[in-house]
Amino acid sequence: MSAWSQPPSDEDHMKAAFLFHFTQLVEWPADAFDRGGNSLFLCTLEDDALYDELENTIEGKQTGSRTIRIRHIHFFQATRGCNMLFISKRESKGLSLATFRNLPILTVGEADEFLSSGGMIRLHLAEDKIRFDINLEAADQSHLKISSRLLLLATSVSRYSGMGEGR
Amino acid sequence: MRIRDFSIRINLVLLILFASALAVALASLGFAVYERQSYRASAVREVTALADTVGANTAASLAFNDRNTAEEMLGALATEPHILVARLYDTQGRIFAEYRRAGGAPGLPLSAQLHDGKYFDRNSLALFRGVVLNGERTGSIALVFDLSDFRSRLLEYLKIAAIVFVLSVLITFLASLRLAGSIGNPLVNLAAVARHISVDKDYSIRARIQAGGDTGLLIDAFNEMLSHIQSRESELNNALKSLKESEERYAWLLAARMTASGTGTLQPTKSTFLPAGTICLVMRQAKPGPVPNNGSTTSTSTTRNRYAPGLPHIAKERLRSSSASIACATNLAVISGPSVVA
Repeated sequence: MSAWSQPPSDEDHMKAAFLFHFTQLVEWPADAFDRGGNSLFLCTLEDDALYDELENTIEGKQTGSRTIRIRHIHFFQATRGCNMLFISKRESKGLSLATFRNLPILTVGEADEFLSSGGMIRLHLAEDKIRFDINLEAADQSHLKISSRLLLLATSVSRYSGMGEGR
Repeated sequence: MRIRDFSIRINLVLLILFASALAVALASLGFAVYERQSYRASAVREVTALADTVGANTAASLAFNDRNTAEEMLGALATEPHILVARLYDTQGRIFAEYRRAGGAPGLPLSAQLHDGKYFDRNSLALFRGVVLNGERTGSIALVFDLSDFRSRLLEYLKIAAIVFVLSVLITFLASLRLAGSIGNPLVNLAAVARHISVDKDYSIRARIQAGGDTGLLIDAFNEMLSHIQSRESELNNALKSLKESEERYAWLLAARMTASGTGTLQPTKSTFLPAGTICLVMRQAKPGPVPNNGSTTSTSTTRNRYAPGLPHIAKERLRSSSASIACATNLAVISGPSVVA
């Protein structure tokens, strides 16, 4: 089995917490939510340890006026209704994030090239701690507003436009 | 006289000074306590506002476990000279980030287990507050505020209080001199009059003192009492005078009668009038008299005591001889009788 199938680790726990706090510090456009806008859907592609952690810790939690719902999707294209998408390192291979351009979906990934391929927030490890980088351009194109408090904590903030070069 | 004169005034002045000093001291104490309370209240307000500001800035740092930015934020507290220590705790109560003022006193020892609230030490105030990110508690913040400033403020305050104290005592002293005079002088003068009367026994003196209230009543009553004493004294003197006169008259009459009847002479050895016991009568009988219980006809001199039991009989005897003797004998019996029997 892969490393992701291990029981929830501290790292998974922290990742879940990060994902939750991202929802607190990102503002979605008003039309991003269906059905009255009471739920915020966080979708994952893989049914792994992190998914279990998310289910156990932040499922049903309030973020602002909304309740977080964890949704497991099987197809990369079945993102309709998702407000946030987490793409682990493994899944990101061979995927094109161009599909999500201009859609109000906050994309969070782990791959090294995640931001340059159009992702918004990239998690990485630095000195055994989870840190994150932000691609502000991608967020802007999707009309997601990232709080300055979140930008302040980012290891780096860049402006990659889609597949293009940074800054 | 002088010392007495001083004592009541000094007592009054001391009383007034004491009351004034006590009032100023109590007022100063009250203000000091108030000052301390208001200083502490403002310290709590200030430190709460700071904790909220810093907490808002570091909430995300706590959420994303970013120690460096948290310490940066706490480092901004260097512009606040009263903050000795600032600490961030994560949701498990572990120290997340810390700031200590350079060269600052350690202040209140912070325990991670302390609950939200404020804790006063002698010289510091520690405040614990939750750090909240969009309604979600991500940790807590503790700030230690230096209260030692208050000591210097209190010292300033004490200086002012001391000046007020001295000034008020001084002014009160000057005012109390007048006040003590207006209250004390009538009493001092009255005392002088009373003393004069007791020495000279002159009851015609009156206290001529202007005073109102209780002192006025006292002076009026004193004067009234003097009038009573004076009138009684003159009555007594008159009675004494008339009594003296009647005694002299009686002695003279008795002597005259006894000589006239030839039965004997009655010589009052003293012309004092009363009481009867002080009169020593020497009775001489020229002829044998019909004195039954004695039987002696030749006794030349007897003391009154010796003859005393027979006095009523003498009276009877005199009754037969002359009307003048009756009066005398009766008088004699009346005057000497009771004390002789006793």
